Amino acid sequence: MNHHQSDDWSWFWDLVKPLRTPPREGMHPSRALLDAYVRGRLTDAWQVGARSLDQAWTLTEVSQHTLTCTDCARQVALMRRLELGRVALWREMWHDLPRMIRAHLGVYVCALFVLFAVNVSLVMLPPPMVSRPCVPSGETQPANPQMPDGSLKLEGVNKPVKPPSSFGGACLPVPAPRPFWQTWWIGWIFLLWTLALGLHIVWNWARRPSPMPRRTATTALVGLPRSFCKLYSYAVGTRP
Amino acid sequence: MDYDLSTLGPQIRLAYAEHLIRCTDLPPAEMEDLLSLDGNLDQARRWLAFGYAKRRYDPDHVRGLLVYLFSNYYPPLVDDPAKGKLLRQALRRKTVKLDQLTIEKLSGTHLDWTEVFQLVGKEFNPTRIKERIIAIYEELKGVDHESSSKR
Repeated sequence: MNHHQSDDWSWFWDLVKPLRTPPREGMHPSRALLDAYVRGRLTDAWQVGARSLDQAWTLTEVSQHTLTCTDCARQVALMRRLELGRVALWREMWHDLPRMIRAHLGVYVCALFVLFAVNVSLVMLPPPMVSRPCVPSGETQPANPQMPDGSLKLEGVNKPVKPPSSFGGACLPVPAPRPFWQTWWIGWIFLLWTLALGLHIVWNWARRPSPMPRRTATTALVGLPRSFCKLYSYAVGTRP
Repeated sequence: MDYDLSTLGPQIRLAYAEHLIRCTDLPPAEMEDLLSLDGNLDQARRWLAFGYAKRRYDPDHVRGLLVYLFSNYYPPLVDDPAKGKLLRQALRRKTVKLDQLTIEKLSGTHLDWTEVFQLVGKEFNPTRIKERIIAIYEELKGVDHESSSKR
């Protein structure tokens, strides 16, 4: 036992002996399979719900093959180099941001998207149509000889205006004025946005790890006159 | 199909080690015969000691020790500097999990203990884990000696 304790790492090194021959000599996993392996999409064969791309190769088999097959190992190394180069600068920057800021940005972008979509759909919706009272083609407009309406174009005294021929005597529906929530939608976005922002700040405040030291009511009351005195002395110029 | 037991034995043992890391390993009692298929009882006992330690103590500690071992001592077949960079990048972003790792993904990455602790999600005393594993190995060896002397 003492011998092992004095040189315990060598006990472990003996275990890590490199493999010499691949599990399936002469057979190689497909490129798609190696790609899935590099990207971590190849799962263990017996994991619940796992479905490998190529049922003939398990994750361990691909790993052991890559440990022994130089060609496949080179291919995997090249794929990893490409994968590393594909990581764009903005992604790096995004992941370097503190987690809290990323969470904030994510929430706000989602909120903005939802609000924008809701408002756009409201504006895009056709407004309800209403029918205006109109004059049927066969009827004559009653004229009041006592109170002539200035807005009416009279062709002559007590002669009503005929509706245009294009109307054909029928009343066409006209779009009703939009309700207030379907207009000024940008304003609504910012209103709700501010609300969401406020809720998020409250949420963060409630979940903060270390609560701020609370001032007792007595401390607060004692501090109030002192602050008032300080302010007064500044105001009257007794303090620099 | 003919199998060469001298090459199959190490493959099985390394596969078992990989499953210990991913925590998809079978109970050690069920693995005893398979691990010593090539007749190398000592190597089989060593890996079984890992398996028993994983079940007896905190499994993440044993998994962490294995990660360190393969990361630092298993020689990579080809030079692949992007492997270590990608692994460290994933560690920084916390997008890598132990159940996604393989011996090939670890070999030659030379993770230090801080990175291993980050990967495992907890800190532990590696020397203590090593001692425990060796103690279990000694236990297994003693049991085998007793059973062989009775025969």
